[in-house]
Amino acid sequence: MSAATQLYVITLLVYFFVDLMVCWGLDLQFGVAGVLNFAYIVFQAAGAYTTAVLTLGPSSGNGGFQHYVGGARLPFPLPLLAAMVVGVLLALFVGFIGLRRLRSDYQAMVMLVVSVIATAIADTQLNLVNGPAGLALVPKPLASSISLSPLGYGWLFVVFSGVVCVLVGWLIHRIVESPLGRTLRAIREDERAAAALGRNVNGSRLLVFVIGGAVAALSGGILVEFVGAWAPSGWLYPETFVLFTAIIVGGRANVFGVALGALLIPVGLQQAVEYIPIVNSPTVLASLEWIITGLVTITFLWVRPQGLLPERRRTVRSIDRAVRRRAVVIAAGTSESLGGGP
Amino acid sequence: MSLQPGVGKGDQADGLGQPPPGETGTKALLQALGLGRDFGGVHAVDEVSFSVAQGTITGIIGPNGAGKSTVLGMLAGEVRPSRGTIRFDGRDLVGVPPHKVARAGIVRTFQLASVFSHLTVFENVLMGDYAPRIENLWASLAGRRVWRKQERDRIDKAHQILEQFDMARVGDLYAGELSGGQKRLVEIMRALMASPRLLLLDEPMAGVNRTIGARIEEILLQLRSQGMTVLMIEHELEVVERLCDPVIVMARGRVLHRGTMEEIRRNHDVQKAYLVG
Repeated sequence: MSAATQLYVITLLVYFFVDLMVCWGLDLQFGVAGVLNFAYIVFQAAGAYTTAVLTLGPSSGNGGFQHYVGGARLPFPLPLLAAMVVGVLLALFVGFIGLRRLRSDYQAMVMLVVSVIATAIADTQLNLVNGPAGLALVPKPLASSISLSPLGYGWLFVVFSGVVCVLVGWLIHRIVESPLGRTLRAIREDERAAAALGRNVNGSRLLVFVIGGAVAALSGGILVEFVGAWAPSGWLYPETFVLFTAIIVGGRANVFGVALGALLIPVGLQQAVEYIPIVNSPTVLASLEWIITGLVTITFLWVRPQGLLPERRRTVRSIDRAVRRRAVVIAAGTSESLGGGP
Repeated sequence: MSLQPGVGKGDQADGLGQPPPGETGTKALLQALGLGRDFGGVHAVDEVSFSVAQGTITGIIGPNGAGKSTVLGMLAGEVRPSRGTIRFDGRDLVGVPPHKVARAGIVRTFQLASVFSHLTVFENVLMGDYAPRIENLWASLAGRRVWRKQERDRIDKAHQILEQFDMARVGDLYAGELSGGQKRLVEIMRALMASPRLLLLDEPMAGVNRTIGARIEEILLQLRSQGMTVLMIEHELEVVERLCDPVIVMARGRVLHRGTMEEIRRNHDVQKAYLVG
């Protein structure tokens, strides 16, 4: 494999893991709990900025050509952890305002407005995160202390992002398959009925908002460490709809469906469009991407709203098996130790 | 297994209140005093007072727009009263959110059956049991070893309820795939899974065929014999006559009369406002 091909594969894999993480986080909110967070990309951006400014060092560094607040040069992985904390705090703030006392459709509108406001602030407040130009020259983590070729470092980054991605997926899967996950799915189906059975709907929604916010911020941090740059134009509100499309296409509330969606839409579709020969202008290319994404969303909502890999039906047998397997094993063991059996 | 009502400290006689002025009978589990709810300038419910004695099935009847569902909504914490008090087992429930009302032991069903459509029937029933110790983030992350036992207990209980309602064969169906009557049964099973101290039913016979209706009646009578307290809104007067004592008649947001169906039939005001229209 040539160096160029390797670089291409490395980039695709890191993007896939980052997109998958962020899709799983959004799926916990939207697919599992039914929260329409149209501001989701803002949490990824917040994580990216936090990681960037805590890695870049003071604003006066690099000749002072970038202006931002809170610059520091923290060792890896502290910037990523700080990004998650910022994601949590932002989720608490936005969730507290947007999730309480509002019906879910109004919540969605609030989130859309939050997204637009956040982009406007980042664009116009030049000293906050360097305005529309964004931040560049973000150092790669541990690059100076690891003596690897650029390609070797790239592959190491693939492994790192892949491990983090699997860990995130495992944690989310654990939540979804637990009794709490059932409660979240019930809230998605009928919040009035869930509340009438003792479930704190606002509290549960805020919980998934916080978890999803932390995951998005972490994914943003990993992405900015890989790319080395980040600008407001990269997290406009339509980007959230790409993630929604991935979930709708793959299958909401199904970790494997979401993985398939993340592979097909943010990674696959974007790459496929670039291979269309008639497109030779970047503007047309971007527009075509949005058009296709929109058409795919509408088509799936009409034809296959459950997605390619629908949510798994939890049968009585599977629910029983989840709690009894170990008990049966223990019972069998006890029986043997007591001299039971044939 | 019997469909036992929940037992808590409130079941002690000391915790039960006296019925509102003008009402006689056993000590009340629930009391509504001077309840009112305004929507804009309209008094949807006004000066509504009644009590629900423990171990009874109390019926609420009345023409459309009488304010029956609004009263039920206020009791369940969904609608905040504009005035008045609600006392349940000596505790004031005004301003308490629905999930805390449910945790206090008041569980309701809805006028339009509100099942969790994309959860199976079995999962719907499981949802009736609220278990804060295992339905939290830490228990989820810690894994099955933390929540297995309690989950297993409630799975056993759900199996028993499904068997009792003869619904085990549809346990794997999504609740949204059921008929209207079966959805009603799921709602009732789910409510019973919560072991409520007071069960609020909003038109449990609406959209239900005769067979399932008879089954629901049978279940409610069984619950009453086991000491469960039920407050139900119902339009089918024959059903009310068979199940409920006492019956509260509401019209235009107020309580017109309270008594047995026999007494209600003889009441001129009720005939005028309800039976005539």
